[in-house]
Amino acid sequence: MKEKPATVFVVDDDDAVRTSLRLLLKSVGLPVETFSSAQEFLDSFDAERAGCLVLDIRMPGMSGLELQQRLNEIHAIVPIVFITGHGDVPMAVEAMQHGAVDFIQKPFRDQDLIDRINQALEKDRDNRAGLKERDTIRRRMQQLTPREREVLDLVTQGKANKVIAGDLNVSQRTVEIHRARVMEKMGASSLAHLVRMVIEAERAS
Amino acid sequence: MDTNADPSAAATPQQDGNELKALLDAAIDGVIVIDHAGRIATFNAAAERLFGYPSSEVIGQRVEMLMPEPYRTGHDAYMTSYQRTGKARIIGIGREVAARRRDGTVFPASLAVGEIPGSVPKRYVGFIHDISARKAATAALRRERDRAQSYLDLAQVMLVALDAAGHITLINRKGCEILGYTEAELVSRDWFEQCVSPTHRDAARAALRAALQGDGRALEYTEDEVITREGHAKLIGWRTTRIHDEQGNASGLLCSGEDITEQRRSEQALKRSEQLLISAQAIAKFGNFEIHLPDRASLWSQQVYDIIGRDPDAGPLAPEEFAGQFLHPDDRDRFLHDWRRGVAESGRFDLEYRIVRPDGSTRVVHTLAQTLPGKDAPSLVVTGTVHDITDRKLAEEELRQGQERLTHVARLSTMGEMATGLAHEINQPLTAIATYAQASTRLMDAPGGADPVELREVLVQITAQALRAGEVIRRLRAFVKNRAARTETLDMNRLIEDLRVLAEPDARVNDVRLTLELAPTVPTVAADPVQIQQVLLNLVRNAIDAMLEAPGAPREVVITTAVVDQDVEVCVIDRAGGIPPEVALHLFNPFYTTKEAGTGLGLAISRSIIRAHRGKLGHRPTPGGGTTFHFTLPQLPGG
Amino acid sequence: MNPPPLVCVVDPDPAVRRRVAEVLGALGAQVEGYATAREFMARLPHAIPVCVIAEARLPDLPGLALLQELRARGLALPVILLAGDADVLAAVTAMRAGALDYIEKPFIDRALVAQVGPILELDGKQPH
Repeated sequence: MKEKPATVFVVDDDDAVRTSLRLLLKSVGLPVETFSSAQEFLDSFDAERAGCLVLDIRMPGMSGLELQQRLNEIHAIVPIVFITGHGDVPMAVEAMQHGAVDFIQKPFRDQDLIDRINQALEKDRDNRAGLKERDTIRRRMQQLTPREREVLDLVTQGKANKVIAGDLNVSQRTVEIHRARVMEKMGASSLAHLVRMVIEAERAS
Repeated sequence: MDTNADPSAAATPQQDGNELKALLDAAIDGVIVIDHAGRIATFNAAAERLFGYPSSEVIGQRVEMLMPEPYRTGHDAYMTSYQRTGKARIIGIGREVAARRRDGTVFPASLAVGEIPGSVPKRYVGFIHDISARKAATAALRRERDRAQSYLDLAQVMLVALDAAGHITLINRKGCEILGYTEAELVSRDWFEQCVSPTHRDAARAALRAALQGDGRALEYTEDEVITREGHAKLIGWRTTRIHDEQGNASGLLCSGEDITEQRRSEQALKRSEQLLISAQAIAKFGNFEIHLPDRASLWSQQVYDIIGRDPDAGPLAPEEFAGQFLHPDDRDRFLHDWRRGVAESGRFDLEYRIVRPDGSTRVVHTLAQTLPGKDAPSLVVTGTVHDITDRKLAEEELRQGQERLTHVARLSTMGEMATGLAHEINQPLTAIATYAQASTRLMDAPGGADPVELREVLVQITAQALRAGEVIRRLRAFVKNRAARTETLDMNRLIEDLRVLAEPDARVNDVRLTLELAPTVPTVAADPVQIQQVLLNLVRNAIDAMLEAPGAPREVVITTAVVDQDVEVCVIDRAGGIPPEVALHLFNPFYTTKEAGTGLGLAISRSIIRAHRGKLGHRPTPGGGTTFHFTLPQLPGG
Repeated sequence: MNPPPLVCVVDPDPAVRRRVAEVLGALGAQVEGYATAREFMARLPHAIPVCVIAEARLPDLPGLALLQELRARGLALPVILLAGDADVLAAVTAMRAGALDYIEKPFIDRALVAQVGPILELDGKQPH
């Protein structure tokens, strides 16, 4: 399946600002989609689509901060760059506390905005890669037998083979075989790698 | 009367009976004995006279026959009740009752009833006498007193009688009226405590004592204050005579007083205004003149010379010469034109003009003139006043400027409250311009360069956005500029449409929708556009603020226009929480504000602006919640 | 029983230090005040606070630099910055650098309680 390229979603109620942003982002080769209201964006929102959000704070109806809150509620990971004509400090702090990449005041230097957008897109890529890796690890873990799963748990708790053999009432040799299979099924290059993968898998998404 | 006679006494029962009858018949009061059943047993001679019955006709009859209705019917029940419960209404008490003669007439009587001790079954004795005469005398006396009181009451002066201790023994209606008390509240009270101010009490008491001791001066006409119930002081002119008792000793004073408060006040006012007039004349630079036509002989009072700065020895001038020498060049032609027309039209006319005095100073002068026929036919006399109104003009100008400054300050303050929205409104096009320009630069730098058609479109956009920002700034400047009031012919609908540029950004940043519901056409009005915009913006601002205070309210402000009774009415309607009564009370007071950053000038100035335009500004609840502020402006004739 | 959690406030204004001590003292924190970043850093090796509250414009070191210095030392302490004349850019920069909050003076009480309260609560639940 071929994925769509990462898109910059621009939400601003001002026609001229929206159109000029579209032109600017197009000029640096970024795919752009624009929306004149937060609701319009939310209505067509697709969590699977990669990209970032360039969001005006003050809009009639749903404000930019409200949209951020709604996206957080549905665990959307799309990174947000706020742009605002008259933001104040509490507003900026709130946006940042809720995970905004940046909060830029209008008018802005094009390079500043483009840098931030690129950072946001990178963050989105990382997020998505992280999610993908987690999926892979979980899938692999599901392929383990119950016994292998037990061995995995004990190994990642830092227990030595001998101790595990005692715990499971099997021979040390058996433990070694299970352990080798676990490493192989999980695609782990080292014990440390295995531990990292288990931690990653257990992280809440 | 002891009916329990000592059994050892020598008299026989028969003798006793005779003696008793003689005794009873000699009594002045009617004596009636009844038995327990209410039957008459004894009826003496006085009773016979009183009731007109011989005793033979009543003995053995029921006593009710001596009573008129309704006592008659109630008596039986009363007897029964008394015998059972021992509760007496008459027995042992005595009271005034109505009695009925044989001929049916009823008379007032005093009745005392007692139970005859030891009698079995019970017997009762009643003593009764006619009190008609006493009643009549009392009534006559009361009538007499009432008549005297009514004479006193008719008197249009206050009459007060005091006893030697200063207590009020009598006061008439006028007195009560002046003092604001009822008669009952005054009679037998201490006059000095009740009606004299604490600071005067001692002196007034001393005067009472002196008058009682025969000091003639204390009986002369005096003027003194009384204090009314309301605590007001009234000035009373008093005339006093002594009251003597039977022994000829002075036992009190009778005082007649007249409320002279008003009279004294107007006397004082008159005196004051006379003084004012004198001093006004001295300082007002008020002169008068007389000119005879056609020979132009003139007469000027001293003040005319003083006002124009001419030596009195140089004598008066004819109007044309006066205009030539003293009139401000800009006013000269108008003065002469108006003067000639005023004289020609033979009536009253007035002129306002500037003169330049020989010392070079300019004064503003007002002349009120009147043309009268002279002694013989075509001749005329023009008389008039010359009044230097320079100072008044200056003061008026200063007041006007002060009001304009205040209006301007309020305008700036309203604008300050809208600053966030307006900054946004300017920032948006600036952002678009900067972004377009930066994008264009990038497009041009790209390999192959920019498409000229695309670039051209961007430049058109940049221009539009620059004009958009400029428009906001232009209106803003026009609005905040300090300027003199000026009246223009306005279409309110147009004015409101124009106002949108300023009002909408503020609404938008507060997430409020501004809706215009304008009548298709409205007649034109004569008004200062900036001042009317100021009123409207102020009302819109208030509406937005009201909405911020009422979080659940629909966030919409509606401006409407309509024609109401020949006036153009504009409403600014919100659906916020409405105005609490205690706030409504002060709403238009200067410096009254419920806003943290408000000056409290907005509504006060809005109202004075609308009043200056001969309109009205008010508010009423919006049906369904919220407040509607409305103002009217009178339409132009033929507008 | 655990010792009360330590909160350090770094602000040249004694009134601010006093106010922070009052507000957070009421929540059960032990509050130490320092007028300069240097004094605070000298204390740091001896005790690790659960939270640092610093003026954004300290005379010797900007609050933001203090935050970065702590991070450089591997201390992931929550840092709250206070600002007398805050601007949006400074606030955003501080937040990007990892500040927990950026509070405009003088109305700091409510924001302090909101941010530091949960930290103190969390600290009370952790074994020392």
